[in-house]
Amino acid sequence: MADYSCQGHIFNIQSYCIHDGPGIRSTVFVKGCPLNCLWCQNPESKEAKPQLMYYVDKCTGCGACSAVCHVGAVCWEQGGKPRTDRQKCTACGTCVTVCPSKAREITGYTTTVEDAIRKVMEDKLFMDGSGGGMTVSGGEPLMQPEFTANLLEAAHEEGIHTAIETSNFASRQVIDRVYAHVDLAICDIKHMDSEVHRRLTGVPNEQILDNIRYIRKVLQKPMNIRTPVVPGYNGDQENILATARFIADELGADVMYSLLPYHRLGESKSESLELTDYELHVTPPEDAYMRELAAQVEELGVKAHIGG
Amino acid sequence: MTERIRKMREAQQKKYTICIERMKIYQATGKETEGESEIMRRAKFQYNLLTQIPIFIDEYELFAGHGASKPRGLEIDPNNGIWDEEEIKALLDKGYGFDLNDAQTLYQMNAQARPFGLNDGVAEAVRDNEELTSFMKIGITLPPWRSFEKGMQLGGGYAMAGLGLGPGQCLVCYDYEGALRRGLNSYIAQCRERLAKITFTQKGDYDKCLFLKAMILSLEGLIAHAERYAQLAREMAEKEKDEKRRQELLTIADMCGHVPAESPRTFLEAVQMYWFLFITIGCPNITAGMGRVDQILYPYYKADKEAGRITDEEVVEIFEMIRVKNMDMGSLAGKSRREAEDGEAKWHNCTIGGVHADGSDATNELSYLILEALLRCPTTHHTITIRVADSTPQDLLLKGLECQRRGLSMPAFISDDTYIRFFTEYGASIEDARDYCMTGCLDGNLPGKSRSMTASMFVVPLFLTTFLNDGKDVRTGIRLLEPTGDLEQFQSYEAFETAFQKAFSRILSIAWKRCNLQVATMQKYFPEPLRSAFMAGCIEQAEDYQTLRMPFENGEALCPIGMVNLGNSLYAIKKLVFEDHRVTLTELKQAMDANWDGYEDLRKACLEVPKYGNNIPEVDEIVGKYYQFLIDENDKAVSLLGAPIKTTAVSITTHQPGGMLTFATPDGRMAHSILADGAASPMMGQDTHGPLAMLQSAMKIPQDKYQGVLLNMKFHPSALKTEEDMNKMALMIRTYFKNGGKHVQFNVTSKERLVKAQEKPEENQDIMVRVAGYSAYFVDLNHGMQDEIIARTTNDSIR
Repeated sequence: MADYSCQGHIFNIQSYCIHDGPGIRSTVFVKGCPLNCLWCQNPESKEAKPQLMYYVDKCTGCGACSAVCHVGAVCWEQGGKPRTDRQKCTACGTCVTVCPSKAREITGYTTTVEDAIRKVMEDKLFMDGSGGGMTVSGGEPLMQPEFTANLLEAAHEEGIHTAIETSNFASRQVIDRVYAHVDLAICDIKHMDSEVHRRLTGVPNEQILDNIRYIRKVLQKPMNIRTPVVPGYNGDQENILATARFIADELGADVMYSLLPYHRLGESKSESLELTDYELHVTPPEDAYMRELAAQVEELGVKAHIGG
Repeated sequence: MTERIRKMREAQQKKYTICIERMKIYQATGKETEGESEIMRRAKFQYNLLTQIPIFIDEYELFAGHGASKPRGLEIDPNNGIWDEEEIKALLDKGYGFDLNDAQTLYQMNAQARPFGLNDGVAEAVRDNEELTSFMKIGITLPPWRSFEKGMQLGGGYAMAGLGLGPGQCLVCYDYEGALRRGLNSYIAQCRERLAKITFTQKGDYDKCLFLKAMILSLEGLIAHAERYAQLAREMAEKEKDEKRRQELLTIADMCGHVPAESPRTFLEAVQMYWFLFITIGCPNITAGMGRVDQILYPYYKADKEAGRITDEEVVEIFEMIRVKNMDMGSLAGKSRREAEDGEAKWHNCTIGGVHADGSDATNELSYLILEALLRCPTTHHTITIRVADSTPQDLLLKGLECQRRGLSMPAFISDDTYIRFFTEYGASIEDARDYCMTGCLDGNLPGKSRSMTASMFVVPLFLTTFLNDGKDVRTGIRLLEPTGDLEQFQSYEAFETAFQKAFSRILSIAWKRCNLQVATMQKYFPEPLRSAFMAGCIEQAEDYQTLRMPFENGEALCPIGMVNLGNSLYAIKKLVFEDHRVTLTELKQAMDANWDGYEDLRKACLEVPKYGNNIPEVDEIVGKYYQFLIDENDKAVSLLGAPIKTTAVSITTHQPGGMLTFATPDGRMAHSILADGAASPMMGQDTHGPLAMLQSAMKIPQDKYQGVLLNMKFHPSALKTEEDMNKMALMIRTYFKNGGKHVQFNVTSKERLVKAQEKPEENQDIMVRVAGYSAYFVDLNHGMQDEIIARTTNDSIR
């Protein structure tokens, strides 16, 4: 039986997810990730601890936040908009409560398996009606193995389908622990070349690919492989087709390959986190290019899918 | 769209032309029949109209019949009362095509003899009735009564409660299936047989005799109307040089010489007969249901297909033609209602799908072809509703969603389960119930077996503000209820609620009188011999369908507006006043009186109290409780025809005028601002937890005993990108329907709406967009991202 008191750090439980596995799903986004992808599209999920989000477009520049900050992290001058020193900010949330325009928000909180599964199960009718279930995404679910494993087990106890979206950058022990309650593995492969992978994400890919083989061949989990197609980084034909060949040769023809066109939502979020080191200027790939990639993947005998 | 349809669309002028032929014939018949019985005068007007109104056949059409005497014409409806100088001027200003001589003639006609209308009948009864006049002046059942002056009833104004239901404007679908099966000669024969049985020994025999004669005369008029088209088509064929068109005209002549007198022999003839009936008995009623068109026409389609006489491409073109021809028909409302409804609103609702009388799936080829015609010819009218049963093929839902994805905002989806339960719980047989169709927006009625003569729009928050204001209307100061007394007398929420419910019951009992009075007036002054022929039992009983108790008696309905505002307001009172002691009821009332001016913090607190639409049980349950309260109360009411007053929940557009009359409410809403739309839809911008939370809130509303419960959902086209997306949305709809939901329609957000959301984010917090596999609320994105999404939105907009 799952440990319902087990705690984890999450930043969202999203209802009506239709692209993260079969049917209508609720997706639990855990917070914290061991990878550091240059193009990260969920930058608020990188750190495990809560963070302040600031929406400059909503901000009226009233300065109320600056006045209440206990640690002097919010700089504001009359007529301007506030900047928050992220080193000093403790994400205590005091400024959020005084903001009149909802321009400030704390992202991330600690929850228990019990609370998270209760929230997920609010949509049970729709999961049952559509053959859906729960997906754990992130961040990196494997970075909080006990929470993720217990959450997945709890979902099974409720009788719903489970999926995980992961980089599989974890020890074999963690893989065994978590995958015991996974019905569908949605696995990212960011690049087939380990050195390039390290450059783009901060970690090499050997352990990742080994785990994927193991999950498929030994654990025999149904699996989808995904690659975020980021032009200029990993979106070239050569890398995508190498990944497709890996799928065809080592995982089997029933593993679907999803090509996710890079989108700019991450840029908006980085702005909200006031991240200054976010300098990626990528243009999302053209639809025609995505279709061409998908067609070439299919030629290798791998089912291709565009989008999440 | 075929070349023929494209040309027909192009030929339709953008603006309507005002026609006064109907009015002229009405006035002339009035003079000619002075002193005759009311019922024969009505029949003679009908006969003269059908045999005298100018007719024409458009260059490209394959079947004949128009609603007015000119192309793209709008006939002035005598039922709508007078058209004075101000109204005529408003028509000219709005850019309608209006012959100045006609305008002058219309003005003179009105000056000479003001038509007697609903307003006059109601006024005669209530002039000295303080309770009812107070109620009507306040406008709790829209719109506020303004004048006792004779003839003042311009469509929807004054006496017509709600959306202009009134004389000639019922929520009804006539028995088109039976008419096509039998042909009108058989109806006339039946009338004659019945006439022969009258012995003048029973009370009422004389009236029955006249009524049957009136029916016969009007039915003969209808047949003569078709024969005029046959004659015209023959004349046109003689002059026609193009051989193909000549043949088409000869076909029209042949068809119009056969139907509606006799049963149709082909699919096109069936369409011709259906169309004649729809435009002459259905219209000009803007709430005339088109019926289950896929069922009505199916036998004729099937026979033609089996005989190889017709192809599906030809059938789609005919359905497109019905759409184009429907664009031409309308009814002209008075100025104030035109403004409230934004132009020529109408609800010609075509119902498809559902089940047969035995419960098996009724979806057929025509169900799909009707949707295909919408995709190819996306006009704003007629609207389409899909009945969704367990057995309804997923493909039909997907085809419907394909239309939604194109931003057509139709078809609507409704649940067979809960609609059928509405009818059976109120006593219909299961077989009858399974034949229901949409009339008006989404009110269920049984074709030929039930009709709703009034659906009074009841502005619930206006009652709440009256209750809190010591029983007096805030706007007019008119006393409506016993004094509420000192607001501090309520020691608990329960005590407050008890007093509130007592007042609510009291005001509903006044509303029932209001409904009954309107129907009684319609029965007395506006008999309908022609339409009655197509309603169950009217020929046998020789009685009008407005006075005869129908097999399913659905004559009167009350339609609450702003129930969500009421629920949110009561929860705010419960929480802030009685649980958190944040404010006293008196202070809250002061803040409302000040329209929150100087009480901004309190307003913020009111807005922060959880709102309906987010699957938060505490507030959803209050909304659900009051929906049940209305049913329980209305079940106690007795309508004129001996059945409970039904309850329906569709705001259409009245949440705007209803809001205009209503001062600030405890949910934080400002005075005179709009109320929540629909019935199960959350207040705009107050659902922030996604579509499933919204549906789960809506499931807490007991919907079975409602005639309709409207729910609007907004999606961005990106949520319907792939077939898999649509499949999942279809499953979402089915889940809602299995769990008590009645109706859902989508607002697949247009580019324009997104631009507006960017300008006014506070009013548009609920628009969901999907960016690749990721969902986000549009207003949460930064401007650059918003711009990109806007640029990406290229859904076909409706013309």
